[in-house]
Amino acid sequence: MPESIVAASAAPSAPSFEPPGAAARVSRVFSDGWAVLLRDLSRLRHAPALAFLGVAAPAGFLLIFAYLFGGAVSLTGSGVSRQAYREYLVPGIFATTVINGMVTTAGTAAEDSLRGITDRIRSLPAARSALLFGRTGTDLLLAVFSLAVMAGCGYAVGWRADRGAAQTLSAFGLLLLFSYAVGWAGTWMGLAVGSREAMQLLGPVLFGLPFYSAAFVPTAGMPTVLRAIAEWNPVSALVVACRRDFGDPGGTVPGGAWPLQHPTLAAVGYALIILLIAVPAAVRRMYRGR
Amino acid sequence: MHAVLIEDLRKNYGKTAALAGLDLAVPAGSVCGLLGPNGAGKTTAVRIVATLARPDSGRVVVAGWDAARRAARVRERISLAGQHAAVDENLTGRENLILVGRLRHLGGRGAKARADELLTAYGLDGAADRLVKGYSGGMQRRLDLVASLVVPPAVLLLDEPTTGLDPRSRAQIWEQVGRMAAQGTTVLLTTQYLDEADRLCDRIAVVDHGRAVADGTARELKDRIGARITVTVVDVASLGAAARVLATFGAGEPFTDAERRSAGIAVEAGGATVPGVVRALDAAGVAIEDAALQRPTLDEVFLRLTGSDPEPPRDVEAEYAAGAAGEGES
Repeated sequence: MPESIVAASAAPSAPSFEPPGAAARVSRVFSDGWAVLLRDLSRLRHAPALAFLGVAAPAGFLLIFAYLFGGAVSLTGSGVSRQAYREYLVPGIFATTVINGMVTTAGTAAEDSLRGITDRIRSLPAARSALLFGRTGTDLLLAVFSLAVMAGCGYAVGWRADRGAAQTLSAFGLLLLFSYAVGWAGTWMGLAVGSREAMQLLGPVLFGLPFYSAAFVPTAGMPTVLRAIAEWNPVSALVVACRRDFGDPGGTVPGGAWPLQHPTLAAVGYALIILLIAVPAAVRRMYRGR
Repeated sequence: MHAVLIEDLRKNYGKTAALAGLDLAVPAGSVCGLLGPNGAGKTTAVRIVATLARPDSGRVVVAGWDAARRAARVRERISLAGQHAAVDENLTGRENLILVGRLRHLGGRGAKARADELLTAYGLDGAADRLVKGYSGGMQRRLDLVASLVVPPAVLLLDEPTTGLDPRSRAQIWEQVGRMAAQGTTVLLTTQYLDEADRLCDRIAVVDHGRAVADGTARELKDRIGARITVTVVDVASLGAAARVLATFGAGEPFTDAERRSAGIAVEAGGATVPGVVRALDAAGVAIEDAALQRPTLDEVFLRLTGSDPEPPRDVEAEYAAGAAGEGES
């Protein structure tokens, strides 16, 4: 009967609580993070559509820009062919996929916090940062999946990685590093957001990031202020670095701002700066609460 | 030995003081209720005890550990459930329990075994592999409570465990909490329902404006306000005589209600008895239809203690009599 089961010595007692050493603490963060990652994967197993949610918007943009706006781009007499624009476009779509992942992450983190799931986990004797490592780990797996799907879509519209395996891996590595960094930023923002209304405002703002960048159109034609914003936008450095590594048009931006002259260095730098800010901020948020 | 000790706890959110010097001592093995209106600071107090929020000042000791300095130790000893610590509705019931088990370091296999055990014990096996999203509100809360038992805690914190539930689900939750308390778990719960506090709690602290304005058993709280003797006379003309007799039993002014032919007076708890009053009225030649000693409901206590006045009323008996006169019979 219920009483006996709960009171029985079979009921687990809390493990002994000798202060764990540094090594034990680190391994605990990983095992607790693993538990959270498994939870996230279970969620995905129940709603596989969620995984495709991350590629729906980028795939839509790919179609719209490649076949609708792309025609207009090639008509301007700039000498850019439709095919060249598509090759130019696909790295921008990859960056959009990465940013889209951040928006999803922020939304999930905010929902978990608003529903009390974050607080339940915070009230358990698990490493509080484990929730963050687990979730950003899941996001990284999702990013691998989304980018693979989008690479397939890109291939379908004629995009190719022309510069060999090393450069291709370097570009995807950069995209994943960036994904991981903005995943942390998204998690932090999601935790910090106090209401659904604020989340609904934040989502579109983040989602707009690729539009104020070199993702879809060259920055050269933009008005001065907008051009400066676009060229210093971390998304631009990421996109230009990818174009360069994939051998797509737009891999160099003559007269562009410093980040576009050194796109790979700038993109790695941006990712590290984002991590340096977001990781401590998110961990602090988990430990301190509101 | 106190399972939870709170001393002069203060917490401000911006300019709003959520807690303004809360004191509370919860003896081990007891069920203590924080009763108060919305915004009284109950939830903030529980969040601090659960180490989810940090106080601005004051001391909280949970199961022997300081909640601010040894939060990790405290979390080993507590479980939190209720409206602000929820189950994940995108997982099944079983997966929720396994997640909690893993995060309580039972290991993968241990967490699974414990989940199975609890699901059977609490009659949730039927729904165990359905998504929690599809559960009724009552079932979600029951799962939530079961999740807090994955490792039986020394102190169970329940934040408004039945808010928004239908009466049947509330009764089920009450039964479950009662069962846990019977096994010696210390329970600290917040509620805005008086019947819940009356039914579950050994001790009740009435919280208002971030402070405990009264505390004791439900009976003691009611006794603070005292009781009331009301008689109904046969002839309305004898109402005045009845009031004069009643005046000798209480300290305040008796009240009369000609329409109902009733007169009454506030008396101290255990002071006057109905037979005594009946004999005195008989001796004075007042014929009565009915005489009753009424204890205040916890609702009346609550309203009295947490009315618009931020300070606890000093002379509750007098106020009670005045209020009763105004309201007539309750």
